[in-house]
Amino acid sequence: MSERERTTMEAVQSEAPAPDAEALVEVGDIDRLRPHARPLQERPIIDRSGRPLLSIEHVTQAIEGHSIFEDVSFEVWPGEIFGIMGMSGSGKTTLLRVLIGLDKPTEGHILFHGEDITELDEDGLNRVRRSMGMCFQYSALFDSMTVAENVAFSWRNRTDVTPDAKAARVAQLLDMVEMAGTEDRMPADLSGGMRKRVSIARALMEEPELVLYDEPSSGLDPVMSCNITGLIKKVSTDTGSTAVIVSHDVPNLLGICDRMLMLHDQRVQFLGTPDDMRASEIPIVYHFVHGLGTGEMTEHCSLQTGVGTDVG
Amino acid sequence: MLSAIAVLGAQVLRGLEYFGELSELHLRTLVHLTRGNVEYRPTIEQMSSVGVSSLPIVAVTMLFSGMVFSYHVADQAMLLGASSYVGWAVAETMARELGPALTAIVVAARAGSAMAAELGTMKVTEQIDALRTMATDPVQYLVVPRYLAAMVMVPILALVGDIIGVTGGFTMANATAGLSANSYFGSIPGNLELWTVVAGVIKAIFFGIIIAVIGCHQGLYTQKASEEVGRATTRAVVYCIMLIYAANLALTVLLFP
Repeated sequence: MSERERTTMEAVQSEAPAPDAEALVEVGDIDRLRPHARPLQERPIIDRSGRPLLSIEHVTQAIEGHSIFEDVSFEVWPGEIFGIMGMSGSGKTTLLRVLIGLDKPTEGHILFHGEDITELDEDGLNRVRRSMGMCFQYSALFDSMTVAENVAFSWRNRTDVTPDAKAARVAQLLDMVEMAGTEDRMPADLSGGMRKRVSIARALMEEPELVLYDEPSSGLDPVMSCNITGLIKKVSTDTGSTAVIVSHDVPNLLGICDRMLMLHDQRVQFLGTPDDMRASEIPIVYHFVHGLGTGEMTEHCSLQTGVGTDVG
Repeated sequence: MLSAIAVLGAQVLRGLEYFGELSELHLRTLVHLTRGNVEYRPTIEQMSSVGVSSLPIVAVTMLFSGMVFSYHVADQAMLLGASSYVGWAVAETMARELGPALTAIVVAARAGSAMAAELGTMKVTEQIDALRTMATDPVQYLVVPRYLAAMVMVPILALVGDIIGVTGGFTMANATAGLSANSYFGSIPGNLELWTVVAGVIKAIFFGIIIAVIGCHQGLYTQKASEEVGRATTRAVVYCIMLIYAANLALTVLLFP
């Protein structure tokens, strides 16, 4: 730090009220600035002794004869935060759509609480979807409705809930996603990050057991991206819901996931904990985790990270 | 030659596929209606959008159409000494043909295109998928209200259009042929049969269904690209107008044998 910067900082600190000692961030402890690194609430220990919430068994998806992914199998346990990573076009979003029954897989089975949802018709899928929520990449808020109407959409026909109770639930959820007081605003008036937050609140309205997040941090600056992933961790911990997150925001995913999967070349290349992923020597995983390119024009990547590109 | 046959065959198959999709969408809509799965708030909003918002353009269209038609009829009727039938001739034509058909075409251009654009945009921005993830059938939430709104509002607009057209016809007959109000309007009750008006309403109900099903189908089947919304909107209007004219012929033959 230069002398001038030090002088300016001291001047600012002398004018500001004395901060809470707990809130002070020491140099070198920058991780404390990351919302998901704050001790919001201890993550529960994932119990893997019972039945998984979601079992994906040998799922293959092809569209018009073109294979998107093949023979994908994994399990998601209750309360877990599960990350799905992969390069652009690797089929992450397609996999998420298959998990909630928006698309039927070409082959394989998806069991939710042991029930094969690939065999269900639309009425059966609607029954299962009441236990699921989904946040879309571009939020998919209904642009003709206010924020409150968007959040309360799944309750719109409920006659057993008074308008006051509905409004209170909406306010509670908006407060949870740090959007209190925005009930009457229209989606067009919100920023990308705010729309993502409202989308998360909408997905939580029915208190789902499983929430699917499609690229929750795409299109956001690094700070907002970090805030959103922190929010996902907070929501999952506070509500006890299970989260499946599709993203290629590696640092943030590594920070909040219990386990992670990487899709590449139409197959699962990696399945394990964030620590396993950091230590992985699988070339594509290594490239992905360290932000390295795979082509010829990637010198700038290695210059930035200081890590060579001679992997694989 | 073979390639021409292949292209023709592909077009025929595409046409059959299109009518299959329309039939399936219509059937799913009817299933929801028979089960009473109607969302009242969006239905009322759509009735306002299809009916109230279309009224000014329907009124202008029917006013000038009635005036033009009356101008021609009054001219001929004066030559034949049948000027006392001008009002009836205008009313008969309005109720049978011009009212339902012109109203439907105006509503297709205004509301049918809006249906395709709204639903197409919702499809492209994943709002339709969002509905499905919230256990809501897009046909029930989006199509049924538009179907009901068009089915109810197009006949009402056609009846209002009939009245405006006949009134516009009077102003022209009065201005060009000097027909009095008594002579013009007095010829209508004794000559215009109730069935003619009812048949016009029946036609308008069918036209409303055509507008809603085609408009919603184009929206729901929009490909996920922003320029596709524009194409779907254009297709909705073109297909609506073509099918309205074809249905008008079939219904005219059926209702006025």
